[in-house]
Amino acid sequence: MKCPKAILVLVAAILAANGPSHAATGTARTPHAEARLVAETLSVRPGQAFTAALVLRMKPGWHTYWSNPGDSGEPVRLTWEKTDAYEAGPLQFPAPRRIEMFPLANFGFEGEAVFLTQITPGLGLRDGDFLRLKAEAYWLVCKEDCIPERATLELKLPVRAAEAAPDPAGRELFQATRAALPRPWPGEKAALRESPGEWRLVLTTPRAAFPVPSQADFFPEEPGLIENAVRAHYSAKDGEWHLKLKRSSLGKALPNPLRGVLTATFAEPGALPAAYRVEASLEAPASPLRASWLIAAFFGGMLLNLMPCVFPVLSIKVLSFVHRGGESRARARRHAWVHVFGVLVSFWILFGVLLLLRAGGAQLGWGFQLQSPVFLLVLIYLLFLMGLGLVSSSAWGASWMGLGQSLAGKSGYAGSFFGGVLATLVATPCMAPLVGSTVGIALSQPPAVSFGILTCLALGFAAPYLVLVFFPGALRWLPKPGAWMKTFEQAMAFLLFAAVLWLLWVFSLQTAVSSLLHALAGLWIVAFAFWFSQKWRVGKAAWLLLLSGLALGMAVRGLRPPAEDARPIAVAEAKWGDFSETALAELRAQHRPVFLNFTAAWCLTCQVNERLVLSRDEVRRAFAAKNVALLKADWTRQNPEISKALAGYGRQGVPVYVLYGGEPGAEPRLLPEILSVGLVLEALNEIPTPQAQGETP
Amino acid sequence: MIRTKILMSALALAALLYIAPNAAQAVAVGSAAPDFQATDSSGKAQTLSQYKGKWVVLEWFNEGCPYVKKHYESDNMQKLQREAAKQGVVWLTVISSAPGKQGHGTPEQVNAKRAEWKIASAATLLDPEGKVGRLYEAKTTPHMFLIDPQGKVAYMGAIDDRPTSDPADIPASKNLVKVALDAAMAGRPVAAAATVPYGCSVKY
Repeated sequence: MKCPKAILVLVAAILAANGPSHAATGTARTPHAEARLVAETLSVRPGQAFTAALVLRMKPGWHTYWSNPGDSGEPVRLTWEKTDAYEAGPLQFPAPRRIEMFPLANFGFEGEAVFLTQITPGLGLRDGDFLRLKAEAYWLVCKEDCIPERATLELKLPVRAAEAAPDPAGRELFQATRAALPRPWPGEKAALRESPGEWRLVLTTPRAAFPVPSQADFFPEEPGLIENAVRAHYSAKDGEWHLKLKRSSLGKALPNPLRGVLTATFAEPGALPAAYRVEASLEAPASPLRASWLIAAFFGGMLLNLMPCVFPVLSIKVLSFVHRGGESRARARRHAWVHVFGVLVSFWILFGVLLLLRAGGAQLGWGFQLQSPVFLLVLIYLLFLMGLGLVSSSAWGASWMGLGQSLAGKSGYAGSFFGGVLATLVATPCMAPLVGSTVGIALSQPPAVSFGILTCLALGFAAPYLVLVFFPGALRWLPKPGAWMKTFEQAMAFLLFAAVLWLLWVFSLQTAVSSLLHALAGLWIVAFAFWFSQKWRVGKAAWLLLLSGLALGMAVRGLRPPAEDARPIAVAEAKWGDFSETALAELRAQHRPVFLNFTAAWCLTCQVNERLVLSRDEVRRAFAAKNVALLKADWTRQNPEISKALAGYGRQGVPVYVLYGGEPGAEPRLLPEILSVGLVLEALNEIPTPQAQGETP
Repeated sequence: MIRTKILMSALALAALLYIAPNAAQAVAVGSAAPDFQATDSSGKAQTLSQYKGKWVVLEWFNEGCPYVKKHYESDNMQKLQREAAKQGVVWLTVISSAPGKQGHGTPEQVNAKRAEWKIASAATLLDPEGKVGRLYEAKTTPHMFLIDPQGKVAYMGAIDDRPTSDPADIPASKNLVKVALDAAMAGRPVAAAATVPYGCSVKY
């Protein structure tokens, strides 16, 4: 066993110094480099792949090139002879380094570079045969000048039927080379954001404390994409690594995903540099507006009409439909248009405000306005006033629409417009199926695209009116106006009062108890203002008093901001833990299944789900049986951590329900916005039942 | 007085804002090719603007570079130069190698090489300071540019689609400059308008 069984053959034949050099051996010397072909094993076994390496050692100061050579140069090549005796895989390039030659830059290797490749000996080989490997290596070696060099390398290995034994002489070489090969990026996400002139590579590190490099660089696989001489601008924050890449003036289209190698060096003494294979997918901003998003948004908007939080407003809609019944078709049509316009305008304004606030750095999502007590007060007073109008509809002589008229002092069109605005204000915090995901998509897009999506959502929401615009004949399907309407209107008023109650509850949760008293005092003034304006028919006085009511209510907020204790708000139940990224990470580290409930007091859909599904006994029992940890993320008040977590699941509003299975690294599963007992139980069924709990106390 | 000063500085600022992005503008297909001034190997002044109305080819050159040799020792480049000349295209060879670096030469040396290799371009521009090279962000030898009669870049990039130093690859390659020139002469738009050049680095 003393002499190695791998036999390196023949002589190094070096040709003239200037021309391409040829050699035919396991080792070849050329004027500027030395090339070797090495096998990891002493013998080979038919059909069993082994690794071979091309070792290229360049004269000091000279370099050769990576698969993307940068501004100039040519990649190292190894061309195998055509044979049935074996099959050779592609050359595996080690991580490159940047070789700067101002104003140009190359990606390549200096000193020694080792390229691995897989060889699979054919099944036709027999014990006692020799496997002859033969390949031509080609490399361009440059310092200031460039010289192409090539060598024919041969290697003869004995064939054995037994397991191939590793060659101890090459162990270190192969180990070190493998350790330095770029590894797949271990983080969850590698994304690419596009902006004029640059690309930003965003890498999300794995949750665990991940070493932060002091320097990082990125080398795209495809040539000509970036300005090679501009080093990637690297920064790290919040577990994300950002690398800014300058786009090449060639203007090549970006491949999606962008593949490349990221190299990282660490400041800690003794920390080895790391290299990762990165596949970054282009983030949504660059992707075009998809028709499917628009369609989903439209249908989501239509469904929104049926959601619990829109219900009080739906009653208003129904009423105005009925009122339109007595009018000319053309007029009804114009009213419908105005209503649709009102919906659109208020969606746009809401969206604009949201974008502005987010641009200012606020972590806000859809429904953000209901996180503001001031907005809640305005809404409460409005709904209350409308309820009053409906109850006293005989005295008023008109409908709630009269309120719109008196408010604007002009034609009934203002009322239609106002109806659209109000419907939007109440409806936006509510999530219907499709709405959650489309709003999530919309808000992650560039403004033009989100504008399009939200406009479709608004149109869907206004769809019943759009029907009237295009098919005025549909009016015939509505019941004829008559005495029944008075009763109906009064009934609807109590729906509005119920909504007022609900909003007052939400308000009380957002502020201190003393604030509630002020809000109620404000209601009293509103009621008085209403009576006053009815009695004396003085529009102006009504305005004044109304405003004073609002003013008082707003003063309230100044009095008592919510206590900092962040008491759990939405529904107090013992079983639910408070959500935080840390809590989630800990539970997942213990391999426990986790159910996340993103909720808010002002979200009626959330409340319905919690009451009718999540707190049901069979659901609770199923959670317990699978040892599922329950975490609640309460978004009643603004909470940047929760907003961020929501965005992480591609959402911008509540409810969102997320189920993590116990196995590590499992993808979270998002449940629909509207839960049913069967649906939750089914989802839980897919989680394995823990066999023995309490292995450790 | 003060008002004039303010006005002047405002104008200066505006001018700066207007000029700065233009100066930083990279050469791109469809945009104006920057004008340059250089002396050729026979001592004549050459500018791009003097060829307005004609198609112009710019070719970055380094006689010592294996990739340049690939195309000259095979007569590949000269053949294209002759064809272009016949069609009235102005072909300018540019040497941006700095003194002391590979490819740099005195006018006599450059002319000797032109004779030896039968280089058929209209002229070889000497750009020892790399001004023209940097203006065009020339990266490799060869690096090719085709400029239309209006002075706009119609093609920029590689000579062909085989980025190797081996002349044996030429017969099977697609010469991208020839394709661009053929399209231009036939009045068709140039298809592959920008490609990644290959070769040795320009020895600035």
